[in-house]
Amino acid sequence: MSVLVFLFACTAEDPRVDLMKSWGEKIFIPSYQSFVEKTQSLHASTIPFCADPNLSSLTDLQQAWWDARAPWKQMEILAFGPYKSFPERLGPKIDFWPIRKDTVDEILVGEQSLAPEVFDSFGVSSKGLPVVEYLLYSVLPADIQSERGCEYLIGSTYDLSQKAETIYNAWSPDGENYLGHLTEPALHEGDYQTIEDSLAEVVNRLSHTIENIRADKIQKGLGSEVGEVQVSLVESHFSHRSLQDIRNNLEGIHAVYFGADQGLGIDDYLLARGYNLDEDFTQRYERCMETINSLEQNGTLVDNMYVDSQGVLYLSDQLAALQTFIKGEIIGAMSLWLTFNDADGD
Amino acid sequence: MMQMETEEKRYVHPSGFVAFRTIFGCLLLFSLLRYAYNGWIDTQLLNPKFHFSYYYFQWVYPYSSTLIYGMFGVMIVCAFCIILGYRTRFSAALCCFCFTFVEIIDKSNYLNHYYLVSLLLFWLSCCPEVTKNTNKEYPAIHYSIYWIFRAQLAIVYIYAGLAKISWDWLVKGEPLYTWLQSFIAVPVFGLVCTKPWFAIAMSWGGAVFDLSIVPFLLYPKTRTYAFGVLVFFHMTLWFMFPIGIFPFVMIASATLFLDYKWASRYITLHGSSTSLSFSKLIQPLLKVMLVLQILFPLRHLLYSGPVNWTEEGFRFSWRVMLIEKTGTLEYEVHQNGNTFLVFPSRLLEPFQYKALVTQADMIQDYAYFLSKKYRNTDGSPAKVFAHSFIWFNRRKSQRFISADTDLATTQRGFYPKKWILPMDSPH
Repeated sequence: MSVLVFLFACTAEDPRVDLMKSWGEKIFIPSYQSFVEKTQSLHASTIPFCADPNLSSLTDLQQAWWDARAPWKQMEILAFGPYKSFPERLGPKIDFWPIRKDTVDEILVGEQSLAPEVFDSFGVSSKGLPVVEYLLYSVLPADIQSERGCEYLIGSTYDLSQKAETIYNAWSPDGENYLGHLTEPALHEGDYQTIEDSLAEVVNRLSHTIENIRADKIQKGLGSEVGEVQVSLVESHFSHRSLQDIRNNLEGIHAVYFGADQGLGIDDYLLARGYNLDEDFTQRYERCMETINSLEQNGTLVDNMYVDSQGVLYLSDQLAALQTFIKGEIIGAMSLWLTFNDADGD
Repeated sequence: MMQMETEEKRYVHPSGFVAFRTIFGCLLLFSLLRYAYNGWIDTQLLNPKFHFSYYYFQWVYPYSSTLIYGMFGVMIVCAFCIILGYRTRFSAALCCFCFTFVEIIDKSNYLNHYYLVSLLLFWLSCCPEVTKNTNKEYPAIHYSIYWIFRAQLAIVYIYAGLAKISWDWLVKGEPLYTWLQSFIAVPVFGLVCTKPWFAIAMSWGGAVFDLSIVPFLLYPKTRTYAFGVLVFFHMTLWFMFPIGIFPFVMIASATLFLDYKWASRYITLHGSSTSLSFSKLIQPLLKVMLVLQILFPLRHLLYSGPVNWTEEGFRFSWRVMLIEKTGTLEYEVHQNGNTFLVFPSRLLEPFQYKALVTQADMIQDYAYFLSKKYRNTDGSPAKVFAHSFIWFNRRKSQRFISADTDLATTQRGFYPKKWILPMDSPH
């Protein structure tokens, strides 16, 4: 027994740690860094726009918002830790949707201060990417001279850039180093006890993300339960970015599977263990992407919900196939669980 | 006195029994305190909004937090009484009721060792009060008291061993191979234990151990060595896998195979001729229970299909550490002409969802619940279909439940579940 104790107490090079570090260095941190830069750029663009509101600079602002959204949506796979945990709970502060339009409209016609610094105390339904989207794609196009709208825009983009920086710092090894919780769980008191736990979190999140797409981004909008399309429940419906959001979500999953920027991915880890699931994964992933492309040819996600609901459901089916593959073959091949009950087990 | 201790006289030294009772009481107490300390009373029993009840036990429900916390309080007091040897029959009976009640609130919480604890408490509640007198001496007890526990342990080991005689266990080394991969970073051991041959060797070792340990424990010449192997076996498993107090319960129970007098240094025999046995009233109950224990684990033979796949007759059958499954499950609900998906992962506690995904009776239970939750406007239950995919012991994922079956119209109970699809790849 003492021999066993000795052997288990030792640590060695662990390919799972290498994989997690690589994800952190090549995907997670750079993506959040990019999100910071893009939200800062978005905020910076609001100042000249509000000084001289015109359609051309509004289009530029819309593009800046669109661009800022990409890294954020790609990292939706990281909807845990600083994203979800109190007190930060940064996810909803950055991206609470569906937007409560009435709340924003009330603020727009109200008299409360919209100075950038007060946004920190605003509720999640009054700020974040969806609110900025609403301002850029609905409020300001209707009244480009709206001073209150512009004030709201400047404040909310400022707050957004601050929150982006906060989530970046929360993850960054130079900041609060949440990444360290994943790469070296034993050294950080937190959600995970072992590298197996943290790896399981990330990989399971791939599957959760797909389920969220299917449940929240597709089914709720389709109004399957009530029998009619619920436009207000569709993500990014003002900007018509709904399908692009889903595409970005899938790109995040793809990056974790294949690695990014010469970094390691699930594929490398599995190959070293004698599994090659690349073709099966790619096949399913490509089917999802092709379906998105095909839907885009008909118009926006909302358009498709009205004219081709079967096509939208087909996308859900393709996503289900990818989800099942991740939850079954990939998690299985990675030996990422012990299904012992949390309260003991056998 | 010596004469009294012989098998011929059928009354033997009580030290082994009293020692077991005390150790078991300590383990029970530790287990209860640990359960409460970790907050599992809330997370496992009280927080879930939906409970997967056992057939015919729908009345077992956490009616209030006061009741459940009260039951834990009662069990803790009972465990103390068992340790101290005070009112052990009553304490064991009361504890058995409370423990079993808590255990069967939700199928998701099913664990073989909880079941074993319930059984050991049951047997203890049938035993006579073995209490010390003012000289701190105990009366002799009938040898059948030892043998009833030995029989229970033999049932556990032998059925666990028989269940291991399967392709997956002996040829593929599954699920051990899958589980052992988590030791990949452990130096030396990690290099070895992650190899397929190691998993297969360990599987064979486990099967041989389970099937042979009881005869070796019974045979006086091998008993001591067998007990040593047993301790090593269970401690190794405990060290490698999070299996709670199970190994300790097995080790404590295995002491009942040792010489009756093994703890006589601390537990001395009463000098008089007082002796204790099972009451005549209770003896028929013991026989019925024993027969049930032998037959119940065999009920899977009444169903078609591999039990490890269908899990019909899987629980309460000592089928331990045999399967590793994961998968996805969602329901397709047809209500008022609309069709939509319900994702149970969003509605249930994670531990419930984990169990639900792979267990057909639970999938059916939840389908029933959904069919009533989403009634049609005319009051009729909604149709509910399951989309369920399972990855099982390194086979490719496959559909588990027939997607064409409206589960809300299927018959519940112990009837064969013909809507479970056959396994694509038996090996």
